[in-house]
Amino acid sequence: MGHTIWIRANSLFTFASTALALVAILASITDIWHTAEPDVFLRVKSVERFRPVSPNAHRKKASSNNNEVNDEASLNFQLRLDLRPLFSWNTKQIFVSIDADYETERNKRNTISLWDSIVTQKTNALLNYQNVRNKYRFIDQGTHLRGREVNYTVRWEVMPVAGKLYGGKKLVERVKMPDEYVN
Amino acid sequence: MTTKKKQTKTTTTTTTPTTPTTRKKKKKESSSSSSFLRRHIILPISDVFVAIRSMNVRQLTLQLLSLTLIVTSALMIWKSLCLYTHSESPVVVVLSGSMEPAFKRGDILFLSLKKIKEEDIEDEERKTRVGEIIVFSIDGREIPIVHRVIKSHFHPFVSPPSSSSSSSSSSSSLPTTIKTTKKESGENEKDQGRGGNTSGEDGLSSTRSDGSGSGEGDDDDNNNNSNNSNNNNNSSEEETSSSSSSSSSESSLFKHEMLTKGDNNYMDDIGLYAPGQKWLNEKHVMGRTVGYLPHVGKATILMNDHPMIKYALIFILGLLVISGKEG
Repeated sequence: MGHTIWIRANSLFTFASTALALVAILASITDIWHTAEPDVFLRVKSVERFRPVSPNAHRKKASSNNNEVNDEASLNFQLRLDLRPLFSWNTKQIFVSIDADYETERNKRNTISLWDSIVTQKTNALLNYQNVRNKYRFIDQGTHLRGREVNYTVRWEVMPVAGKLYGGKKLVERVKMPDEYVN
Repeated sequence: MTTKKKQTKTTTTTTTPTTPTTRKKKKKESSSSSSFLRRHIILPISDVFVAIRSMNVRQLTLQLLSLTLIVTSALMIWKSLCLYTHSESPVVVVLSGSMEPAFKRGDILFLSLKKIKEEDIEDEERKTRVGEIIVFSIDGREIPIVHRVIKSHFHPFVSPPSSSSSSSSSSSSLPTTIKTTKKESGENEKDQGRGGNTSGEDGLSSTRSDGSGSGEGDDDDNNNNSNNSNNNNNSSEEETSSSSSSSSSESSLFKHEMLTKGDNNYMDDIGLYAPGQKWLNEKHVMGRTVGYLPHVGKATILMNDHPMIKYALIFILGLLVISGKEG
């Protein structure tokens, strides 16, 4: 019964997939100890716009609560980030973002991602932006942002070719929002 | 094992009349173009059926038991993985291209809902944070979505000790109703003028600290009119069950509203949520991504698109196991 084409194909496929899985696991293990601390510099240059908005201002289904006026801020950052030490053969891309988080009476913890970028190659891994404006709207649930202390964190997440996702972040700045609306 | 097989083969060929087999052989030799087909496909399949027919009840039962053993051990491995990761679906296949270049169609993701111990996370109830790639399902959509969280608003509630008396039901119903009906409360306020509210709704609207405001545009009116009947039903159901479940269900102890977006999309996901839904809650989240394997899920996509392949594969494998010919 031994040598039909199906048996041969079956053994070949089993062996190939087992070997591939083993090699992938071993290879991703070699990357486990590769942790690096990239060089981060972030500065909030200015608050360009800071005003309350109503939900219908932008789109029909705006990302804020119904019938409620919410604070919105537009910020301008300066960002310098060196991601080159994080790159290895097992790095498919690195996802970078600038997050703002703050506390209000209504919500104990609000975290909003203001800007993000994807870096796929080591040659593009040295980021030096003079003017980064927030990509996503910085909108509070409510009107609690005036005079609020906001933490700004730069976060990076490494996506491997195969294996475990990992990343890190650095709390860079804690800036107080203006006490009055701007613009 | 192989010798036994050969013996059974010889016994069957001697017990059954020889003429059909010799006729088959003659046919094989005559048409060489289809001989490959017969030799490699038809003959093994007929071998399988012959082997099954040749077994008595005891052998057949044994083979069926081994098949059941395989199926149940696969199920046990799956379930223990679900328990370890605290998630109902620990392994998923990426179906859309909205997270490229990170995840492509056909990649496998490993999910988990286990809490990560982190120094700055003092609110232990949260299971997902901004920046994580989560898989979530939306009511009305059968396929879960893999996207990244870009906004998160979290607030833990301290529920008062539940004394199960009706006098405290309105206050203890606040935690549960606020979480799920917050988005509907704006629409509920419109209904107060029309009457027909339970007492809990009045309590809810009067304690909202940021006044409801008067920003009611035409768009909201249209939304409210279409969603009103649904929302009324939802909120009244929530309140009747809340006093019994306010202390037991952990989902009532905090509010966590999130907004997601695919890396490859320009807009955030508000357009993908259910009509009237503005935020994603933790109950929608199936898990956050912790691991990744490329391309392995392509077979699953193939089987999804052509379910006949899936059934055929299971049928053939079942036959092979029962007949004892495992290659």
